[in-house]
Amino acid sequence: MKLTIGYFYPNLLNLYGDHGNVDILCYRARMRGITVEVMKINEETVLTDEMMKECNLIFMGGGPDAAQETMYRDLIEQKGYFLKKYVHDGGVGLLICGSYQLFGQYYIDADGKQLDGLGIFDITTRHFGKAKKRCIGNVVATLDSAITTDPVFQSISPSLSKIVGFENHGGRTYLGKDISPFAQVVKGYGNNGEDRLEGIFYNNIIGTYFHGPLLSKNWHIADFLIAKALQRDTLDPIDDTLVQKAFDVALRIKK
Amino acid sequence: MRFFITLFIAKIGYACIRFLRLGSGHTWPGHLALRLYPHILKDKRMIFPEGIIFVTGTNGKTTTTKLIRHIIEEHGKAVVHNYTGGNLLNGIVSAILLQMQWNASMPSIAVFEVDEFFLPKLLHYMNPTVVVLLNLSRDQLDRYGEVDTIVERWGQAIAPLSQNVKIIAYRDQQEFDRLENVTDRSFERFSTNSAISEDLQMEGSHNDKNADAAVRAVSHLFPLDQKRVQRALHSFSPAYGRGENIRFHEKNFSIFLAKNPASFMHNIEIVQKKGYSTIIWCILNDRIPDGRDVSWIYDIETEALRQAFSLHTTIVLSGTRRYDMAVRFHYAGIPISVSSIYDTHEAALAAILENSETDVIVLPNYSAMLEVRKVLTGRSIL
Repeated sequence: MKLTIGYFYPNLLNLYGDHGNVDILCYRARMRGITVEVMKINEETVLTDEMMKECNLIFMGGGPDAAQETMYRDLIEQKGYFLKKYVHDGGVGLLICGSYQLFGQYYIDADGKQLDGLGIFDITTRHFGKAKKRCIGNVVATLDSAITTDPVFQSISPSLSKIVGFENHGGRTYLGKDISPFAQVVKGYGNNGEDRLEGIFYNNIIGTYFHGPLLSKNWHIADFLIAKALQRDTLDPIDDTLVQKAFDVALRIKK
Repeated sequence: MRFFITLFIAKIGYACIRFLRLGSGHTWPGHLALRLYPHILKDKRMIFPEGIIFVTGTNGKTTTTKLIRHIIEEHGKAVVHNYTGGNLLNGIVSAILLQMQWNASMPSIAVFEVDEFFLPKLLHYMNPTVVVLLNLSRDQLDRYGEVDTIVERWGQAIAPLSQNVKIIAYRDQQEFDRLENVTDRSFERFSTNSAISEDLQMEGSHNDKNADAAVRAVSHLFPLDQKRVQRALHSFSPAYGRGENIRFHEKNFSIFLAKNPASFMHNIEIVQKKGYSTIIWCILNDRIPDGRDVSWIYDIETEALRQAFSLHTTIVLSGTRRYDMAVRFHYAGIPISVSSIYDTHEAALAAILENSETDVIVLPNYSAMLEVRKVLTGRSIL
């Protein structure tokens, strides 16, 4: 039983400690005696179908605008083909902030320039420049039923349906008609500060604006991802007293 | 006339704040003065004939400016310095007005630590002789944006400066190579000087670099006397919260500011040299001066963190985001239990006092450092 995490652009997309999510997945999997390998995939990496077949979980973090331009060409022209296939085949993954945006139809930057996304998610993102302020602050949200009704999630976390984190983004994302959000915002902006939706959940991919990093206090999401990646119905519980206490405290943080 | 009225009001205002114990009030005089006279820094009385040094960067500003001041004073000269750490406009104007006499006379040298985001604006108001660029790394991302944003701003601000302004920049920071190209200038690059390091009594390789920068900066103002420089390095004691030692109830508390991944890593270097029985008190806040996002704690290298902390017998946590720090330690493989986490600094301190160990290393971020100093000494700053 091996967890192989395809970690895309670790050097360029590692803003706000997002790579901590990979560390946490490794830790939690190893605590269950699961072997873990992290496959780092950069712009120089020549990706193949064989390599992607080995991955059972993909991760991409957020990045500043400059870095996103550098990897953008590689993402669209080289890696995009493999990622589209992976998602359509039901692969499990976690995308934070900038990478979540780039899996959508397009991104319009602060100058009004449009960047095409991978077109995998029916979402669009727009940065309104100085017209709207950045979405920054502590966030709390309630997971969408698409996740909470999943029997794997119910087995891992029968009663906990909230998530906590910190958001910091200028881009505002709008979901198409038929795509599920990841969660509904209780406190904070979420995708755009208007429709009270946060992130997306599509096939087995979670896209979100949550930093923190996401999995630091949301142990139930970490375990959900690991279980789905390994196609298991559940995971043995581990001692999460500390993490659960941190979660409870985070629920009460003032914005 | 306007100048003298402003000076008067600033000084009186400060005296009132202190007398009425309304707070430490270190930046209020500047705030008041700027309301009355917004361009006060361009007033003809705001001159420092022997030179002005700006020191900026992510880490080391307070220590380096204090050392610069110390070297200058060892040469028998007086210097204006924003020693309370107010490194934005209010703080700098405050420092000048409070250190100026009622007749506007003041020392002919100034050294200011300058917030890295504020530097471009300050360069519009004042003409420094020397600008020291110490380093750049991630800090308060929700306030500053990424390092590249700062580099771009610095480039635009430095390019039009006269060639007479000396720029001293850290040798091993790639972004400073880029800055030299973008501004079409040649910087003086500093690193570590073994002769200086030998004389310096402070811990940490980062301080060796700060010291090299400090000596170089002062050397551009006037010729240095080697013996006096040596004495200054030898006798230099750390700035508040930067390796400062405080004795409290027969225990020795060493406070090392740890406010971003780079400074935390410097302190890990120091922690590793201490015995495993040394108590470590880690304090993490998310107040406005700290940056509200604490995700940066995951940018501290996991393996280095684990190696430095996991064998220490006693780790104590407090601060508004103490649980986030606890979880970060937990995921780095450092054993932490809920009982090590205290809701107030006073409660953490009480637990530490019950421990027989006499040495304590305190690792707070910025507002936490001011708070813990207050608990240990009754004062936030000085």
